[in-house]
Amino acid sequence: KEAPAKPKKKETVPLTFLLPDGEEVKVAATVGDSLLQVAWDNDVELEGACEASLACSTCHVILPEDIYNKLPAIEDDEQDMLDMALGLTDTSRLGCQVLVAKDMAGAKIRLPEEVSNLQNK
Amino acid sequence: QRSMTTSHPVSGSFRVGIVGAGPAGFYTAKYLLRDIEGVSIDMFDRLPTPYGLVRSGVAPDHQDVKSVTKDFAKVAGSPGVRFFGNVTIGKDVRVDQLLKCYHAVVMSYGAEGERSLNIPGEYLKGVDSARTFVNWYNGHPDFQKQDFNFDSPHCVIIGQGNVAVDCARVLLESLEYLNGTDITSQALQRLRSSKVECVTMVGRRGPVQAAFAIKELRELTKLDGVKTQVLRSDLESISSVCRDAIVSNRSVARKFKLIEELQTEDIESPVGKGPKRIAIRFFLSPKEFLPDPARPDHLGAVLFEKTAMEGAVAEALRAIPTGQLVTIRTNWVLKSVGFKSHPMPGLPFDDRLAVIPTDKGRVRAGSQVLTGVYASGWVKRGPIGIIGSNIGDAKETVAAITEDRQKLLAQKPDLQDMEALLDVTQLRVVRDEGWARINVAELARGHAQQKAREKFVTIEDLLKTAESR
Ligand SMILES: Cc1cc2nc3c(=O)[nH]c(=O)nc-3n(C[C@H](O)[C@H](O)[C@H](O)COP(=O)(O)OP(=O)(O)OC[C@H]3O[C@@H](n4cnc5c(N)ncnc54)[C@H](O)[C@@H]3O)c2cc1C
Ligand code: FES
Repeated sequence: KEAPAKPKKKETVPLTFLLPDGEEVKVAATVGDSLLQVAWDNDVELEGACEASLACSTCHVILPEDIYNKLPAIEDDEQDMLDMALGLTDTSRLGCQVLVAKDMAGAKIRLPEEVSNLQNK
Repeated sequence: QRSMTTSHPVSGSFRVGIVGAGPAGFYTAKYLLRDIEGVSIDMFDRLPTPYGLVRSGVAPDHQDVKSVTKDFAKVAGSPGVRFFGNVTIGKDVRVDQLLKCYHAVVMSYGAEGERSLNIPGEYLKGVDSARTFVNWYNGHPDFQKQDFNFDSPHCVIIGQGNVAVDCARVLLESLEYLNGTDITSQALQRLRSSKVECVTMVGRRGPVQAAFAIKELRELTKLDGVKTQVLRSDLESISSVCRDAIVSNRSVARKFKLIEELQTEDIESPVGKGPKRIAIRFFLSPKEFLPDPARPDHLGAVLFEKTAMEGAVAEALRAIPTGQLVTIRTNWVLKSVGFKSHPMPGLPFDDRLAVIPTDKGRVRAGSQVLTGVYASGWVKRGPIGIIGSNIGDAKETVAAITEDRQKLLAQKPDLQDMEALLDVTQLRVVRDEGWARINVAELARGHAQQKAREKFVTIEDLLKTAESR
C-alpha cells in the first residue's frame, strides 16, 4: 500500500447534471476528474460499461455549446465510438474522456434519453 | 468487491426469474435491484457460464468491451440474486413451471439462430456461418467440433456488419496479439496453420448503407501488415439520393470519408505475394455457391449479381438486381447475414420479425398482454445494437414490472420453490459457487500461459470444474 497522500484540498467547481426525466442534480465536481467519475461519485446514473477504455459509448453526455467549444478537439477514436451512441448531438461527448476544468463552473451536463424511438410507443 | 460465491436465502418478497444471463438479463437484474426494494432474482442460463455473447460473441481482441462483466459480477453478487446455470428453459424447465415459482418471469435468451440466404449450393463444404465461427473461436461448447477451411488462401465474408468485421480481423490479425487474449488455444492453433491471406467482405448495398461501425472499419485499417482496400468503381455507382444522405448525416459522412480513403483503381488479385489484404466490396448480392470442379462437394466460387440502390428517399432505398453477374473464386465462405431468435415453447412468437412480441416489455399474444411474462434484449427487439443498447431496453422492461408489481403480488400469494423443483430434475445445476470455481480455474489456466483467460470448452469440463472442491 502507498503512503497516504498529504491531505491537499481538492479544487472543485459546481456542476449540474440534467437527467432524462428533467431532474437536476447539483454536484461539486473535482477539477481533473472525468465527468463519468463525477457522476459515479454523486450517484448520478451514468453507465460506464467499459470502465473508461473508450469501448462502449454508454457514458454519453451532452455538453453546453460553449463548454464543448472550449474543450480540446475531439479525437477520432472518441468520435468513432460516439457515432454508435443513441441520440447523438452536435455537442455530445463521452463522459469518461472529458475532464472537469475550472472554466466549467455552473455548466449543465445533460444525460441523453436512452430509450430509442422504436421503443418510444 | 463482492463476488458471486455466496448464495442468498430467498425471502418472501417480490420474486423474478430471468431466462438468459447475457447483457439483457444482467441489465434487467441491475435495474430491478435499483427500483424494487428487497426483490429476489434468479437468473437461468442454458450454459454453465453467465454473460452470453460477451463471453461467446465479443471478439477476443476486444477485451476492453468485456470489462462490462465486472459490473455484471457485482449484480450477481448482490443480496437476493442467484445464478442457475446449465438449465435450459423450455426443455429442462418449462415456462409454466417458472410462472409458478415467480411473480414475474423475464425472457432474455438472446438470438441463437441465424438467417439463411436460401440460395443454391449452401450445403457445399467450405460454406460456413460467421455465427459458428465466432462461437468456435470464443469457446462456446456447442461449436467445438466445427472445423473450417483454413487451407483456402481466400475467405469471402458475405455481409458487412460488425460480426463480419470481427471475423475478418481475427482471420488476419497478428497471432502475437491474439495470443494474450481469451481466445481458445484450440482456435489459436488452427489460426497458426491458417493459409488465409486475403479476406473479401461483400455487401448487397452500398457504402452509405454499410452496416459496420466506423470504429470497426478503422480498426481494420490499423491492422499490422494488412492492407484494407475498396474498389473505386464500387464508389462511382453511388446514386445521387445516397450522395444526399452522406451530406445530411454526420456519422454517415465520417464513415464514407474513411471508406473513400481506402479506394484503389484495382483490387490486387486476391492471393499471391505481398501483404495480407482485406477487400471491401459493395453492390453485390449472392446468387449461388458454385462447386469446385476438382472437388465437386467443395465450394469453388460464389456467383453474385450486381445491384443498384433504387428509391426516391435515402430511408427507403432498396437494392435492385441489375442482371450483371460477377464470380469471385474462393474455397471458403462465412455467411454473416444476421442472427434470429428461436421461439420459446409455451409463449407467443412473431415469426416474421423472429422476436417475442411485447408491449413495452410485457409479452403479448396479439393485443392481449400475458400476466407476469416480460422480455428484454435481443429476443425482444431483434439482434441489433451494441451492449449499451440493452440498457434502455432493460429499463423499459423494469418499468413495466415495477408498475405491475402490486397486482402480481396480489395475484400470486403462494409461489413454489424453484430449488425444490430443480432438486427433482437430476440436472447438474451450476450455482454461483460453481461458476466462481470455473472462473478462478479459467483465469489461472490463462495466467499460466500469459493469456487473459483459458476457457473450458466442453460442457463436461465446465461441469466437472464447477463441481470440484
Ligand atoms: C459476434 C458478436 C460480437 C459482438 N461484439 C460486440 C462488441 O464488441 N461490443 C458491443 O457493445 N456489442 C457487441 N455485440 C453485441 C452484444 O453482444 C449484444 O448486444 C448482447 O449480447 C445482446 O444481449 P442479450 O442478453 O439479449 O443476448 P445474449 O448475449 O445472447 O444472451 C442470451 C443468454 O441466454 C442464454 N440462453 C439461450 N437460450 C436459453 C434457454 N432456453 N434457457 C436458458 N438460457 C438460455 C444464452 O446461453 C445466453 O447466455 C456483439 C454481438 C455478436 C453476435
Ligand atoms: S465508459 Fe466506455 S466509453 Fe466511456
